[in-house]
Amino acid sequence: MQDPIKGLQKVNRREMKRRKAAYKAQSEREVDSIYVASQWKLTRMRFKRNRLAVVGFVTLCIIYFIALFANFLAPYGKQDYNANITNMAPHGMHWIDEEGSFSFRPFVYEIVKGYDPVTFAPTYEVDTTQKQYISLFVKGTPYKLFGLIDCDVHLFGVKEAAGPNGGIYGVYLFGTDQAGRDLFSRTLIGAQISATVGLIGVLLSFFLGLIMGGLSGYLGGTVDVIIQRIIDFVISLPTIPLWMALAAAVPSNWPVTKTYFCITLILSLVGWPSLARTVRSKFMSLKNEDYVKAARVAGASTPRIIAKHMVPMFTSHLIASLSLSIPGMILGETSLSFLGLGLRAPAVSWGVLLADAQKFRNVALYPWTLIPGLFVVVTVMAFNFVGDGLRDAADPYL
Amino acid sequence: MKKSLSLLLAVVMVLALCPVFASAEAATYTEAPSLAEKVQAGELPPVADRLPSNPQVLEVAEVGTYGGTWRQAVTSGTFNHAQHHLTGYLSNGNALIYGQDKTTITTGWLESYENNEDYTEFTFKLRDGLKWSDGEPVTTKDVEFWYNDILKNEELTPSEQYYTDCTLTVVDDTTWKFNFETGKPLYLAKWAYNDGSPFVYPSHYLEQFHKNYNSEDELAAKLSEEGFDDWTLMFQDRMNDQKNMDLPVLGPWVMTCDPAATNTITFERNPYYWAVDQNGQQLPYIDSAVISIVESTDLVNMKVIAGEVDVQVACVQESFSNYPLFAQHAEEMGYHIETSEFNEPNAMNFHFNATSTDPVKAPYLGNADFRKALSLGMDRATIISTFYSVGPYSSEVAQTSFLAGSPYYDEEWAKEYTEFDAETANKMLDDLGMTEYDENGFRKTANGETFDLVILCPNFDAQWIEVAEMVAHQWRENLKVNVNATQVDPSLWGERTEANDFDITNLTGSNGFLYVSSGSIGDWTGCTGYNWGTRFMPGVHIKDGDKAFEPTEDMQKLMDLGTQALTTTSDEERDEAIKGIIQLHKDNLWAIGIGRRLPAINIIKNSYHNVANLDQDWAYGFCGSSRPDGYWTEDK
Amino acid sequence: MLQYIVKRTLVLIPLLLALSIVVFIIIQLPPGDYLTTYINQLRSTGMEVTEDQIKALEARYGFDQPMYMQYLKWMKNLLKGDMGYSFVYNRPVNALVGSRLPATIAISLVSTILIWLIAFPIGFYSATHKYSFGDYAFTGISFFGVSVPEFLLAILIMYLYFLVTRKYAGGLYSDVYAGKPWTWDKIVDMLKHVWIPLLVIAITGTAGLFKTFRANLLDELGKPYVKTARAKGVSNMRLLIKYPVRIALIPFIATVGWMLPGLISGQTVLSMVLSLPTVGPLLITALQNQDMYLAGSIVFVMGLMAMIGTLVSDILLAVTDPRIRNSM
Repeated sequence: MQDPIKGLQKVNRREMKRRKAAYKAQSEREVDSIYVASQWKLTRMRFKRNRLAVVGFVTLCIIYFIALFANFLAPYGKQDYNANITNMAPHGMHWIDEEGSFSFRPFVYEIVKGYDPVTFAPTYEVDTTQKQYISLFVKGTPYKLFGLIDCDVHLFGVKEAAGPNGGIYGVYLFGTDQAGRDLFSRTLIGAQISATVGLIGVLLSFFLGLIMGGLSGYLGGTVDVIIQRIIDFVISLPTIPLWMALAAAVPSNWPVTKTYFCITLILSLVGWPSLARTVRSKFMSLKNEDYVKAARVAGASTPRIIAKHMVPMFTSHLIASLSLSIPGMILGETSLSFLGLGLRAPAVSWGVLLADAQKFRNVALYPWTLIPGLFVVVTVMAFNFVGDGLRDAADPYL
Repeated sequence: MKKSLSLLLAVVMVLALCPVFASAEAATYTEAPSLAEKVQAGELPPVADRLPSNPQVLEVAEVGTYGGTWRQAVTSGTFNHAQHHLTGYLSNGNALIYGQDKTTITTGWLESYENNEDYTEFTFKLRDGLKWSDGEPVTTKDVEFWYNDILKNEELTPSEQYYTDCTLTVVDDTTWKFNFETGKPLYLAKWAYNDGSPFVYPSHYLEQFHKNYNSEDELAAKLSEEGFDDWTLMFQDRMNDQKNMDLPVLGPWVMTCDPAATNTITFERNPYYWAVDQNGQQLPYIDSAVISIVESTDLVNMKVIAGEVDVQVACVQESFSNYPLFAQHAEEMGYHIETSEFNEPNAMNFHFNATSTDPVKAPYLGNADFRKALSLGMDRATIISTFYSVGPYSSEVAQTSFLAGSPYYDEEWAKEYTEFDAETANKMLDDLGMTEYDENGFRKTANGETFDLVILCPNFDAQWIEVAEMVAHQWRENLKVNVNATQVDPSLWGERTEANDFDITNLTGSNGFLYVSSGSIGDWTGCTGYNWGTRFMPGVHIKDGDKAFEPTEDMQKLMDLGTQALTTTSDEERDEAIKGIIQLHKDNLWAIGIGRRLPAINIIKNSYHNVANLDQDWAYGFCGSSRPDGYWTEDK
Repeated sequence: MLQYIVKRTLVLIPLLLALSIVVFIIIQLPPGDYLTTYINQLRSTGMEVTEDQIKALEARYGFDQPMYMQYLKWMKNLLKGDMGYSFVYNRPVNALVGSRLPATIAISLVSTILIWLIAFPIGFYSATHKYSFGDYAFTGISFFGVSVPEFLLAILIMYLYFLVTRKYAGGLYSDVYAGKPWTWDKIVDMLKHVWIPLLVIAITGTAGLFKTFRANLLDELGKPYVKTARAKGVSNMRLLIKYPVRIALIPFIATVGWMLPGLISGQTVLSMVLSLPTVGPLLITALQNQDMYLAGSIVFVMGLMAMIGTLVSDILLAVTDPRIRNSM
């Protein structure tokens, strides 16, 4: 093995070069401004320099944009069953037709369903003599944009679905599921729940953690001991039984999403201790810092000291840890759906789509049903990039 | 390989040419090599001494050779009969056995049975020299033990079942009589249909766990040794052939492991099994059996396509959508797929809670016209082509009714209100006064209240909720009735339906062929799968007293007719009663069906012989009338 | 120090009491009880269950007693080390859990050690070779590892294994070895099965540990004392191992205790996918069937382990970190 220190030195040299180059590249004005920049601004600058984090951030923006406009971007509704295209492999659009002539406007061929004489699996034949062009802003399945505005316009699609040979025209970028629903549309619509439902829970446990950890760390003494023991207690409660119990106790006439949302909220009441521990240790170390003492001597009130002098010191840390706990929620949703405890059909989330895809026949025969898994991986990875980037950016030692 | 195969074929052919004697002579009995070794070593008595003096002669289609291990895999789910009934079936020989037609009854380990004309007296005779799997003889002492110490023990049997209120008369060591006050015309059918040894238990083994045979100190010592608090719990565990490997049994195989401690339940042949083939070879042919308990049906499917399952119906039967998966690997892995008809009459039916106590919903759920309107508002062709159509197989549109092929098939019932006709359906709803619409465009009640229904969907299968949601979707779109589907765990589902706390629930129905079966009124009151008997029979437990409810007039009639069908000794009367039941269903349409269930999948290794007529029914251990003791395999 | 340990241990007692009550409530929270499940099961096999029978069953299982009596009975037995009786399996809970515990602990331990053995060396390499190709490769894999749902990875690997070998990969060993004593063949056979869960754990479990360790070590390497030591000519490897690595490891050593409950439950989701005979699936089945004592006892023991684990962690933290030790 290579001598690690040599490697380290090499890296350090390389690192120094990189930094120097980076500084040089910046304008004089920017270099000057570093000395007077606020903690926030510094963090932002450092974050921007982390390419992975920026990529992650852009990815997240795209995903949340998709989630916001999912119904409009998706060519079909989440419940658009179609018996003519069950378990169909992805069927995209074409630009070049059989004769090799190029058309700027994409088109689709008619698809006719059949079945394999031995396995009885559905087979799909493309009739290249019948084509139809893709249109923008087609009228389709009605939906509510942002959950409010009645709308039936979709970004793209085909105007006429029925083909002359009894087949159908359509764009199915990710293929279809067992009930002939478009996976592309369902994946986009699934983003609405998957990318957002964890957020609220995380936020709640974030504030709980902040308050409990803050109280514990700043006040110390008996309060600290009591809160510490509460934390010990809450940590010792296993999540899955709690989840099952709550899921069974919720009234059956509640819609699935509401049930799930409600349980997530309750679970966040259990999820705060780890953050509280971090906050506590930060408070412990900060409260003896000179500037905090100075503020106290100057007569600043406790809330003011906490809000103005202490919290800003580690907000970026907290945001980083927050952005790192969101992927946990997204993965947790898929795992719970797998165990049959999380969101369930007819709700559409990535977890629900994956719970369906993990059936062995789908993995073996219809592997495109696993595509939502790719979205989970990409989203979680993006959150991790951003979280890591934020943490590094907030760390004054780097 | 080839050589040994041709040799084998030659042997089989020679054996097949041998003249078949209905009762093989005692001297010619042969046994498995593993047992012969033990006899040589003096560990077992010779085969002739182990068999009864007149063993049952099973005429198998192809006389087989000994050896091999029969592998199956089932899940460990909540409502999984598979595990219980497979273990029960493998190790528990039947006293009486139904023929393939499910109407004729033949004997198993009983030599003969008889009944008098009014079905009040039944005489049974054991095969002479019949032995438990530990070599102890089976005698009427074991019947007395069952009668006196299990059936008549109030701690073990707190209340009498319909078929057990009899008196016992022992005639001699092998013969006894049961006498009933009222006639039980379906008594024999009940035992032939269900698995298990209904009236003998190995007294020589079980006495050590019974209160009547032990002093208090002995019992206490036994309890602490076995780790139980209560002697009844201990006794019931020890007498359960599916849980106790030490219990002497009468089946072809004996369990050889503690099923609670392992994920693989193993069985070895029973050296004292009571049947031989036409050549006098003691059965079973197959040496051992293995049942793997896995966590999901998906893993069962995986075992199938990896060729690690030999003959199986349980678990693989359920979803016909898996056909392509199994078919894809069939040739390569050396198995084939057969299908059998489900006894469940419908792919999925929607049962309306006609006794709902919800003041807003009850007038509609309890109204036959409302149910009929919803049935008309269902586009069955679309549902079937989406969910119940695989290759050339497509389920046939039908209500939940007795199946074609059963003597009571009624086409009118099967087809009524199955035509998709939204116009008529909407008119019917208008006629019910549901003419006003709420802000979301859904129908309100005649009194102007908002109206929404929930389909309570038990999570027996992941596809159910999809179908339920599609139906709800159709009702919302076609009829503007606000219906939503929600999925719950089976235990919660049981709790809610029991407490009358549901609007609509979905099931596949039960007993579509109307087999004469378990002696439950529920079997006779129509095959909707809904537990009529348990909900409306007198003295039946109803949870949540505050939600008490009464059966409607027609339901009461249904119960009465069900009781009549169950108890009458006259075939004409039974036919009349069942016709009445059918008419009630036709008038009320308590449950709306979609279509016939797609057939059950059976997986059979090509190397297995004599496997025919497998059945999807758990009560036969999924083996139907195919007699697994007569299976044999080329895989040794 | 000793005083601290004694004090903390004493505090455990009321906490455990509270835990047992909360666990009991959680288990009882879903409507119905095991009898509902059982009666449904009987009925779906065509049996009719009358009111008398239900009363007798209630009495037998103790469901006719008020809730607090049921709790007290459970508690009394727990104190004696008897975790009660499983209705579903007709077995004492001790025996049931006991039969699955060795495999569970073995899998958890082996996977934990495996994770550490992989994560720390590559974390060390990555941190000391920052921005090298190896670092990028390891970081990339670890990002994938934390992002992919465990069950999905397991299913995919299992399917790929099937495609290549045409064999079923679930379980811990082939069925023929079930209930047989441990022989060389059985061990070989087990190794053929057990690598799949280990591989999945190695990918998904290592990632988080690797990332944190790398970050911690990098933090330390950037600190002035490392530079000073290096300037003073302390030998490279010695320097690294003695100070920064040690400090970067502290948080991990200190949180060893937190792994205790995981040791008992085993990799629940993974066990479900791969059908491993661990305690996790047993718990899920018990919860679904409302098998009260089985579920309650497992959950309680897990909670107990978590509490002991926290205690151990705090003590270890005090032992390893002089700053904390001295502030006591």
